[in-house]
Amino acid sequence: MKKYLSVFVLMVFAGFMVGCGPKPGPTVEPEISAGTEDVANRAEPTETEDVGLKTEESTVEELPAIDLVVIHFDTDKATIRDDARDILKRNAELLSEYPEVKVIIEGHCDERNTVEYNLALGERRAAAAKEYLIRLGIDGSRLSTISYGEERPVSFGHDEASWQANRRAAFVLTH
Amino acid sequence: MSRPSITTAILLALTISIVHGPPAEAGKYGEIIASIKTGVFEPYRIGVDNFIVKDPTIPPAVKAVVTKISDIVRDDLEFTYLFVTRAPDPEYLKVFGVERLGLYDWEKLYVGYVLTGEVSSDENESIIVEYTLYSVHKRLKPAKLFSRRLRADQEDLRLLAHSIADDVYKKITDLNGVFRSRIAYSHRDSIGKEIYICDFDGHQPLRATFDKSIDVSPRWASADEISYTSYKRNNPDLWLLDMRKGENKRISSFPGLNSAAAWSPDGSRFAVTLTKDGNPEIYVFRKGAKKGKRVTFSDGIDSSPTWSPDGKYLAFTSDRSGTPQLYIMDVDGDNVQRLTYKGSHNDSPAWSPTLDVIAFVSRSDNGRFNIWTITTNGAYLKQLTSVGDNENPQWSPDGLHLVFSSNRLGILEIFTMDFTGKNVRRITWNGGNANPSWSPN
Repeated sequence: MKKYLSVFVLMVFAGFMVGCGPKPGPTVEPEISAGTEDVANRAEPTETEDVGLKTEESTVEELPAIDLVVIHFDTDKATIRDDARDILKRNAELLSEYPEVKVIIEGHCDERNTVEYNLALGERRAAAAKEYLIRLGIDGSRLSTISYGEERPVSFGHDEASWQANRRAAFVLTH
Repeated sequence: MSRPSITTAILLALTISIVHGPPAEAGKYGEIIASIKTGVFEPYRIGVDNFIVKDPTIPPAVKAVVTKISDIVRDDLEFTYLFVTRAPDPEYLKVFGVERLGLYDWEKLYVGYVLTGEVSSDENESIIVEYTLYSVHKRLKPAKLFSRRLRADQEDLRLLAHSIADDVYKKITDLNGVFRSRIAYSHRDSIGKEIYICDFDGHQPLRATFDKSIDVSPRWASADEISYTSYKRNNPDLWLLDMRKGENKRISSFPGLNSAAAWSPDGSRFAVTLTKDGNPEIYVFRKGAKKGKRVTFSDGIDSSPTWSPDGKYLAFTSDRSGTPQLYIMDVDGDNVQRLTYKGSHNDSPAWSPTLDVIAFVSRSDNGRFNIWTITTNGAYLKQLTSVGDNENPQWSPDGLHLVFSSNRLGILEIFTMDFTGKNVRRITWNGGNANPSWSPN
């Protein structure tokens, strides 16, 4: 995880744009004023620059080819369904075989509902999957969660089939 | 133009404001509301003359945009629905047999006010407008109310026109106009989402973030600052973009969600959804403070806080009852009360800045999402939209309009409407636009 983080830090200030700030208008005066007021009060844009330096990409150890299967959820729900129980059981067995592997559990939602609610719901789904894997004996320190809400769909239709495909928790291997 | 159906809705809001204390803007605002309550609302009628060129040496570039100024002023005033505007139609000129309408001619067109403007330029080729507002009346002599001169660079033409409209609006209604306010929103591109900002009427969209990541939920912390949630450091953290200083700071980066931020009306605090304690809960932070106060405690989702105008209460979404519903509590987390009971999915509350009314999203029986308003005592519900899915309502600073996203045209775009659901205007045109937020002024 760490090495990815350091690369992302570099991008923070790059390209940040200034000069789109508000331009306060003039104050109201009852009668005609002697002078002429400037509508825009432009501030000079400050230079922006890349704060980071490129770091060497360290060699990445290969991850074992484990196929952890995605689980799905009902609308508005974060409870583990019966079909997901079987999948999680198999995922847990695989994880027990490879104790060095860590997993990021991603919680996802369909496009309906607001961005904010879906972020919360995605987090609940990821947490529910994590909890279930812990109950099946997987060490919690190997499992982390992240919610992407509705931001990373796998199916792009606007129907129940697509929505069901997107209401999911996915398992991403990491070191 | 007549807008009779507005009356009932305003009446409703008005009744509420009287029962639950005065609106934030008293005075003339109260008078306007009262006139609506007692009968049919009479909009202000104003003749906006085409602005003319005074100076024969005016640069062609300035001369070419002169008529745009009066067009924008008319468009702004019409947007409010408090105004009906008239332009000097060629037909009128023919009837009166004049090249330009005089004040007595305007009076015959049943307007109460007339705005005229003369445009000149200076050595920098900037635009200088001298505009005058008159009152005209059948039985009284026309009177000059005020006159002003404004200058702007050519690129600030729209801002100049909006300033004139704000000025006229304030003079006549004693209310603060929203014509210089702006709207922030997220736009989906091939990589993720970035934050954009446009004028309240959709003009002049500008890209504000260049994160090549997922940036969502922009919210104005002040007229210069926008907070948003970004994945640019691999965790959904809360960032604060200061457009005046040109700074971009990470202000909340607890493991897990740092999302759905909302700023108190005075800008001193923000409420945010965190999952650091394992479950989406709402926390309140003083701006700049490292430690916040947890204010919700339930096993389910608590999210999407919004502040009451006086900063004493929060409304929010919770699924503690089994389905997402709206709740109101004291800002310290006490006295939690459920607000919505109708429907199995209510979310995205936005508390009006001027009235005790909350706009929110409800899933209808047909599975579509629509925008509703509810009074904070739960007594009155009103559905504002009915086409497509409509989400993320946010109020204009004067509380008379809402901005929201909708897929009613097949692609996701930002729209504005007045708080009765009328006067819908599309303000984005390129698809993939959502999560709007209206600047405080």
